[in-house]
Amino acid sequence: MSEQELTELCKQGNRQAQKILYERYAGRMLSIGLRYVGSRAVAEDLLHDAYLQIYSKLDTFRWRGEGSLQAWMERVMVNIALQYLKENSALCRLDVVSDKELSEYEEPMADRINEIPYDELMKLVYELPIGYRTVFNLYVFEEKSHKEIAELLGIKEKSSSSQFVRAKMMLAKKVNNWITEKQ
Amino acid sequence: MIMKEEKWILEFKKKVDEHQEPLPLGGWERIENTLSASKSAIPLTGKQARKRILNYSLVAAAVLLVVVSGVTMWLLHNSLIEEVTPMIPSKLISKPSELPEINALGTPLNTSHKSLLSIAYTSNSSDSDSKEEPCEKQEQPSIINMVNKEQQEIVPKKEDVASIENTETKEQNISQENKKKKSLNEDTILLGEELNDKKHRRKRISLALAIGNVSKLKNASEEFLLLQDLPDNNIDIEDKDKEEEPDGHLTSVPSNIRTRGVQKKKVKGYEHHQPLTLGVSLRKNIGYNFFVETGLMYSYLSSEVAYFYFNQKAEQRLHYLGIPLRLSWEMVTKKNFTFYLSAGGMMEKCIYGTLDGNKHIEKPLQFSTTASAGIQYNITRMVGLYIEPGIAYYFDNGSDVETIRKDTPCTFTLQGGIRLTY
Repeated sequence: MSEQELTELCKQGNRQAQKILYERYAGRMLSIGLRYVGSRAVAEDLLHDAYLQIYSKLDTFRWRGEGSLQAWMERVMVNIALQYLKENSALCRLDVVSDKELSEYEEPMADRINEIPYDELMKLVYELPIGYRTVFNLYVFEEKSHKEIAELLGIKEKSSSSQFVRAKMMLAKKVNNWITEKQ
Repeated sequence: MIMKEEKWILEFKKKVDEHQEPLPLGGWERIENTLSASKSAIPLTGKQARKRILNYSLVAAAVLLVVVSGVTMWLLHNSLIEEVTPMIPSKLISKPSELPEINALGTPLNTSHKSLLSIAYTSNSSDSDSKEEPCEKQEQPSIINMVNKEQQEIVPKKEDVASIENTETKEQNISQENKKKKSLNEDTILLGEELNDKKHRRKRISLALAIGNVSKLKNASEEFLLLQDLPDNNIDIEDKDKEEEPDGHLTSVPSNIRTRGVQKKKVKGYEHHQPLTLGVSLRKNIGYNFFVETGLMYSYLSSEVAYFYFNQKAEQRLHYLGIPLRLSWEMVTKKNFTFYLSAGGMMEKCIYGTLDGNKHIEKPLQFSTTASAGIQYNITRMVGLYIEPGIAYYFDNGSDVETIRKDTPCTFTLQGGIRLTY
């Protein structure tokens, strides 16, 4: 069943189509949620909420080609995760990392990234301070600009860019450490 | 932007983007349950919302139509009782013996061309005067007019007593439809002809009333007479009937009426007791402050049946199970109180019944429609105490079993209880 057919059937409230929609994209959406909140239990709850919202708001979605439905659903998931973080005041906590910690930044080798298992890689991401992690996620995976991130999180654009740089430096350091340890 | 980032970041993104977490156990079932439970609570937009509002409007219009139709039928029914019945019991019961005198006097029976309703008015107006002391002179015109009216419809210009016999002969030739239309008048003739003996007039009236009760038309006057007058006229009516028939007084009665009267005259009347209704109901929010309510209702109807035979009485007990279906609209919610309007219907089935200890079940389904306004005190979000005055109309299901619902199809109701909402 094509994405467009799936969209139309789900709009009509077809339960079987809704189930297919869930089975097809839930894994990907759950991984998105995990990237933001770091807890599987919380991410599963957010996934549940996201699908309910998707089913109820699908009427407003306009299909614009293959992949547009998935992209729209992922945006819903990201928004719900951000909402969760805001409601839990997680984003209000300023992550202050001394410049000294980031002074010894070294860019990891790109081909070494593939050596790191996904779970280990994500563990490194979860270890980032929540503010850094959120900006990093939005910038790298959702490909938002710092201006968009600033609007989404209610922070200054400069603050977004600086947090991203810090997140990147911290993560590079962790990746390098992990690679060093495994050698 | 991300495209300008270092290679390792792009590689990092690629690796993470391709990953999919395993689906949570029971994740879909959880979503499905939530969807099923709160499907209507999901905010609707665009066409869906408009379509739902249209559906609600149609349902509301249908319910309103049923309620208005029911009330109209009830009002029409009652207005007929008020217009027609007063003359019959008051005049024919108290002054039955005037007819022979009138005929004997040779009063022109075709002189009056008043309508039945105008007769009723005349009769009614003089009724108050004759309550304490019978006044035959005042009564005569009423009876003359009634009999005259009947004769005008059947055989115009019959002026002597013998003409009644001719009238009867022609009566048998009239079409069945005319008989139905004039069943009230036929009963009136019957009364007039029978009531030539003052001593036994009440007994004869009782017989006539029994005939009226089983008439196919079963019009308002017949019901009124059966329920209101018979208790005063129940003196060994059976014996009297047996005496009357050989005298030929009943020979003028159309055979179909007589037969039915003989068959049904044993029952003198019913005294219906207050129905008892218990039940469990559930209601579900379907959005926009509308609720659909259904459940299972048990009703117990009891009546005391009086017979002519030695004033015997019997108890009629009927047990019903019903399924209501109602639509409620919450108008106002303040603090823990909710005010609402409700309309709908109920389908009931008599599951068991007895009459004088013998099995006696009303076979047809009983349908009714209700409209009510209520107030509910919400103890919790799901549990509330309510009281709900309203009006209910019970449709005639064609059953021969007499119940309070047939006696007074339109009744006021007062319900109360505990309501579960989910």
